[in-house]
Amino acid sequence: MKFYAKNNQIINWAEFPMLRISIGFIVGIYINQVCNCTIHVLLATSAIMFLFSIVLYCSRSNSKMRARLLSSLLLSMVLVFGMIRVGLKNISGTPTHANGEVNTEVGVVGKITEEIKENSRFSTVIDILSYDQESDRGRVFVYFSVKDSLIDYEKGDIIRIKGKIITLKDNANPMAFNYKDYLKFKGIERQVFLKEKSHHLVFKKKNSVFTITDQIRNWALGIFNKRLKNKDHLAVASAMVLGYREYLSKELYNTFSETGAVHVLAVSGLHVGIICMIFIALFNRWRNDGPLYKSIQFVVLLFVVWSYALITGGSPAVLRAAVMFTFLLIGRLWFRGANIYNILAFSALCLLIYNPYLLFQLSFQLSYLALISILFFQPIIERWWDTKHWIFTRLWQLTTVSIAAQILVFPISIYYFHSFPSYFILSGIAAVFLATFILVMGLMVLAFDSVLLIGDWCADLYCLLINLFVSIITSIQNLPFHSFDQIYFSQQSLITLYLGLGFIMFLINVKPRSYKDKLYTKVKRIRIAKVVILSCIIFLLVNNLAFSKRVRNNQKLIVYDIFKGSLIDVFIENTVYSMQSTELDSKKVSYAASSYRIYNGSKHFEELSLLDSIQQSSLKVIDTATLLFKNRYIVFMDKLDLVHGVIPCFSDILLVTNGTTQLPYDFLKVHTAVKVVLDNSLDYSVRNKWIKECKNRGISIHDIRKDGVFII
Amino acid sequence: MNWFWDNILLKREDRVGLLLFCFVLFIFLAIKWYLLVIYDPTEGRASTQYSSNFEYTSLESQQVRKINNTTYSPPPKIKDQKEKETNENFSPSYSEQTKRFEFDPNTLSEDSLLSLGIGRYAASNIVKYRSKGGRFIDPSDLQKIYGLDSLVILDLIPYVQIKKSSKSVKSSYTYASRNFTKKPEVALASIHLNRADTTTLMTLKGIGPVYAKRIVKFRNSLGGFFSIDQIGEVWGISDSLFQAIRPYLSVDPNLFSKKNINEMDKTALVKHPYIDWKKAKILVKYRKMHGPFKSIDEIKKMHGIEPSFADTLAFYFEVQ
Repeated sequence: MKFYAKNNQIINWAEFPMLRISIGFIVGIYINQVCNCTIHVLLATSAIMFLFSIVLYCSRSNSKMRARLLSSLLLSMVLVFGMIRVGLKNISGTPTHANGEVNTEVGVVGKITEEIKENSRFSTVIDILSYDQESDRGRVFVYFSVKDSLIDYEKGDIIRIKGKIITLKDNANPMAFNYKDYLKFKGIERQVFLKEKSHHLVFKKKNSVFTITDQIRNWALGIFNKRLKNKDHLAVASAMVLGYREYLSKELYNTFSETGAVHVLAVSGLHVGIICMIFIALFNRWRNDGPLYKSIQFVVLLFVVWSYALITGGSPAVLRAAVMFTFLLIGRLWFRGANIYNILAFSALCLLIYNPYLLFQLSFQLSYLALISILFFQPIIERWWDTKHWIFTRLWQLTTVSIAAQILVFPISIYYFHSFPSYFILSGIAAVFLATFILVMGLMVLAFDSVLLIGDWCADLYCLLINLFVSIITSIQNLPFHSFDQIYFSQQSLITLYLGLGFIMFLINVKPRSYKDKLYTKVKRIRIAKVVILSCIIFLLVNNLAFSKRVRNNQKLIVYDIFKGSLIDVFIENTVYSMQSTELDSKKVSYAASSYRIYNGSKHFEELSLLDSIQQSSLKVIDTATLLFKNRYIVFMDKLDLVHGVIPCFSDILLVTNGTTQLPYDFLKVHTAVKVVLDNSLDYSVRNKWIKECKNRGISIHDIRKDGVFII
Repeated sequence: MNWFWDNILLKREDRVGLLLFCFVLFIFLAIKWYLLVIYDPTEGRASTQYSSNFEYTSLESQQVRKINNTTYSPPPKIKDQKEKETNENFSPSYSEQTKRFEFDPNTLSEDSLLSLGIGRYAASNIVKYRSKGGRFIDPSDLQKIYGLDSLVILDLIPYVQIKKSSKSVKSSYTYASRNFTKKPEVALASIHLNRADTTTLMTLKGIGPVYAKRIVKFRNSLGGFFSIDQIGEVWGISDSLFQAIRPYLSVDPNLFSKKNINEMDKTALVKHPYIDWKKAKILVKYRKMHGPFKSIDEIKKMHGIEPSFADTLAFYFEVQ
C-alpha cells in the first residue's frame, strides 16, 4: 500500500479518516491517566463543545476558518471523550464507600469472575455486588484460608465472604515488576485474606453465553486430556487451540520465549486468521456470487470468529483480530473492500471504548505494534528478493513476516523482557508454518473424536506433529548464542527508538512525485526527517555510553524488601556479589532483584560469602561477620555467632537480617553502631525490640518494611 | 502554523461522520456516567442504618423468631462458644429498623415483610403473587418479584425457610440451617452401616433425609453392606461427601443373611442391584445346563463373568 502525503501533511489523512480519531482518543486516555481530571467538568466541556460544533456545522458561512475550527473542535472532542472514558473506568474500579482501609471485617456479596486457582491456597477474583448491604462496585482478589482444603465454587457463582478488605501493597523493590499497576489495569485494586470458613454460596451460577463457551472449552480440554498422554503435548495443544495455559510448565514456556516463538502459544490474530481462512476456503469450494449466499457466508464467518474468540477467553489480541475481521468482512460484503489501516485504527478505538485500560496492557501493545509492523514493512522487505519457484516464494514470505514483525516489536520487548532471541527468523518460520497445521489438526482431533479409528489416527498424527514442533523449538534453543540476555533499555531510549522508527517509516513513505514537490516542501521535510533520525541515533549512542560509564563507576549495596527472607546485593562494576537466606526460592529472588541487576549492568554473578576472602579496592572481607565497603564497616548481625567470642566494637552499618532472633540489649552495650538496618525477614517481636532499643540509644534506624529498600 | 492546520483539517464528509460518531459516543458516555455516579440502586429501599459491629446474639434471634409464630422453628442449638462464634460470623449487621429472621415467603404477612426491609411496593407484589397462585419453591424464586431490590434478595436468601407443602410436611428444610447449624459430633467409626436406621444416618454431616433413605433402600435391596466403599455407589452421593463421612462409618459383613442362589429365578436375581439382565440370564442358563451350583466358586469359572464380580456375589449368595 502506498500513500503519499499532500501539502504539509505527515501522512495523507484523507485516506485514513479513523487514524486521527483513534490517535486523539489514545492521547486523551494518556492525558487523563497523568492528570486525572474531574468527570463532571469534562462532561460539561464536551457537551458545550458538541453544541458549539453543531452551531458551527449549521452556520451558512463557508470560510476557511470555519472548517479549521470545526475540525479542531471535533478532534479535541474525541480527545476529551478519551479522558472521560478512562475517568469512568477509574471510578468503576474504586469503591463508593471509604471503607477500603477500615480495619473491621465486612460482609461482601460478589460474583466470581475467574476460575478458582490453586496454589498454596485457593484464590479467585470477585466482582463486588454489595458491601455490608449497600451496593458497591470494584473487584477484589480473594485468598481463601489455607485450612479450607476444598473450594468448589465455579466461575459465575455469587458468594458471600467476610473479612478485612485491604488495598494492594506497592512493590517496594526498585525497577521490579509492578504487580499493583498490573492488577489495577485488570480492574483489581483490593484484596482480602479470608479466615477459615468465612464464605458461603448465595446463588449458583446461571447459564449465559459465557458458561456455554466455558463448557465447550472444558469439553475440548477433556478430549485433549484423553487423547494426548504427554504432558508437554497436552500443554502445547491446549494453549494453541484453546488458549488454555494452565498446563504450560515453566521450562516449556521458557523454551518458547527464549527462541521468540512464544506468541504462538497465546491465541492471537494469527489463530483467528487461520480459522477464518479455513472457512473461507470451505466456502470457496461452492463458489457462488449471489447476495444471499454472500450474506450467509458473512453470518457464518462472523459466528465462527466470535465464538472462537469467546471460547479462547477473549484476550486483547483475539478481540482485536475478531473486531478487525468483522469490519473486513463488512467491507468485503457491502463496500468495495476497506483500507486495512483504517480497520486497524477503528478496531483499536472500539476496544479502547470497551475497556480503556487495555492500552496499558502489554498484550494489547504488542498485538497492535506487530500488526502495524507486518503491514508496513513486510511488502517492502518482500520486494528485496524476487524468486520464481513457489517454494522459495512461500519461504521468503514467511521469513519477511518474521523479520517485519520484529521491527516495531523488538524495542518494547527488550524494554520489558531484557532479552532478544537471535534465531527469531528460524523459530518464526517454524512457528507460523507449523501453527497452521497444529491448529487445523487440533480441530480435526476434536471433530473426529467419537469416530472410530479416524479419531485414533488423528490423535497419533497430532502427537507426532506437536512432537516435531517442540523438538524444532528445543533444538533452536540448544544452538549457541540463542538469545542476547541482560539487555538494559531505559525509558528515554525506548521513546527515542520509536521516534526514530516513526521517522524512518515517514521517510519511506514520502517520495517526491513531481518536480514541484521536489523543489519545495518534500525535500525540506525529508531533510528534517533525516536530521531527526540521525539525532535519535546519536542520542542512543550517548545514552549507551552514559550507561557503560555508570556501570564502570558502579559501587552499590542494596538490601531488598522480600517478605520472610533477606537478599543483599553488592554491585561493583559489572559484577554482582549476592547473599541470600537459604530458604529463599529463586522465583522470589528474580522477581525482586533481576531487573535491578540488569539496570546495574551486572554481567558476572558471584555468591558473597564472608568465609572467602575478597580483596578489592572497594570491597574487603574483614572477618566472618564484617565487610568493608566504600570505607564503611558493615557488620552482619546473623553471622556474629561464627566469630568466636570476639564482637566487633564498631560498625557504620549494622545489618540485622536473615531472620535472626538475636536481641539488641546485651549486644548494643559493647557495640557502637551508626545505623541499624532492619530487614523484612525479622519476626514482629524481634523487630519491635530492636526499634525500641535503638530509639533509646539514639541510633538511626532504617526499617525496610516501612522505609523501603536500603541502598548505599 | 500552516503545517498544524493541514494536519488537523478534516474532509467535509469526515466532519459529518465524526459529528455523528461524537453524538453516539457522548450519549454512551453520559449513560455510563449516569449509571456509575448518579444512579443509586439502593434508592427506594427502606432507609436503614447499619451498625458496624455484629450484635446478632442467639437471644435476640429467638425474640425475633417469636414475632412470627407461623413459621416458628426451634433455633439451632448452640452448644459451645466456638459454634456460637461461627454462627455470628454470618449474621449480617442488624439494626432496629430492619429485622432479620427466618421466614417463609409463602405465608408471611405483609407487615412482617415490611419489617424485613422489603419496600411497600415489593411487599404488595409478593402478596399479589401469592394470591394469584404463585408459590416460592426455591429461595432464589424471590428474584421473580418485580420491584424487589436484588441486593435485598442477596441478603434475605439465607433466612428464607420454605415449607414443602402444608399437607405433607416431611422435613423442615432450611436454607440457613444447611449452612449454619452444625450437627452434633459423631464419634469415629460409630455408625454401623448394616444396623443404622435413617435417623442414625442423618446425624452425619452432609446426609439428609433423602440420602439416608437412599442408603437404607440400597441396603435392603443388596441384603447388606460388606464394605464401606459401597456407600459411594449410592446414587447421588458424591466422592467428596463419601470421603467426608467415611471415617464415621463401620461395617460388619457377617450381619446379613445370604440367599440361596439355586432357588432364585431370573426376576428374583435381577432385583439385586449388582445383577443385570444379562448376568441373570447367564446364571440361570448355566444352572439349567449344568444343574444347581455345587459351590459359589463355580461362578468364577463361568464364561462372561469376571472373577472380581464373582467374589462380590459370594458375599450375597450361598449354595444349599
